[in-house]
Amino acid sequence: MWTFLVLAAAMVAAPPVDVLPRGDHRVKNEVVFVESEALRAVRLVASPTAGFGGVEEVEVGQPFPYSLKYGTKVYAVPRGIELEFPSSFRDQDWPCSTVEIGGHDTASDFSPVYARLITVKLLAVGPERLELERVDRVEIDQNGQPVDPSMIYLRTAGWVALGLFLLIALRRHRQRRAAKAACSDPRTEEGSGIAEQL
Amino acid sequence: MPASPLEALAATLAVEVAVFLVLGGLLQRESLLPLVWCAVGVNLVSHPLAVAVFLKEGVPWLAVEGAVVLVEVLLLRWTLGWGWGWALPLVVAANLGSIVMGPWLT
Repeated sequence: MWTFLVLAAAMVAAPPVDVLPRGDHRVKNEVVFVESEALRAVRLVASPTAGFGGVEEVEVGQPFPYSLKYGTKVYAVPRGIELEFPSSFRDQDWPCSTVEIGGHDTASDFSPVYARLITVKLLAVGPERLELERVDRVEIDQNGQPVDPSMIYLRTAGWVALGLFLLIALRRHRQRRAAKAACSDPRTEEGSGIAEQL
Repeated sequence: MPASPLEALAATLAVEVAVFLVLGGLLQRESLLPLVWCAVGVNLVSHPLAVAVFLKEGVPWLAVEGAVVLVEVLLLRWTLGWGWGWALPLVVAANLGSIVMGPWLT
């Protein structure tokens, strides 16, 4: 009984981001920085703001995992400063920012997206925040190939068109049959009208 | 292993065609072919649209299902000329069936 209550309480207390909704799958988000003028003056460190571990120095052109679940932020540390890597940078006073991913850590099972690669450029480092520009955003499928959203919409349009064609054909077929039935039965009001017209 | 949209469509058709046949046949005494034809047509319209909406992250599942029911009722009324009183319960039953049975079939 107590085990059940503790488990139930733990489930209620768990943050919603920990729950993978039914019919969804995980999406791996990665960020890569491109070379920029502002980047020459600082070192970038990616750190989650929740949980433990996951702090790593960002190398230009090297994708690093970006967790929306653990609230990854990118911190800018002036070059020349001896840097220790604590388990998290969340208590550090260095200017930092999140990266605009444009999605979640999960996607519907219907979605072909299993990963995203966001390419970002550091434009400037402010006293508190970083000015970032999203250069590119590529969604990747299970086989590591880029996802083409236009194909999804084309396929949807094709199925819908086929469904509508079937329904229109059925409706016309029934209308024709009803007209024929009415026409062949002169006792009905409609039938006599049509018979007169013919 | 998650179901592909095509597998999900096949599972939906399997369940909803059966519900259309049983309930449509019993309630409206509609013959077999128009019911199958209509169930397939209605689902070919609603299911891919629902999947496309599901791909937009953050859309509530219940809202999508509600929209699906509304679209299917309107299409059923337009195609077979049924009233709301017959079309709505049939579509709700068919969708409940596919929600419950879908995961078992895929």
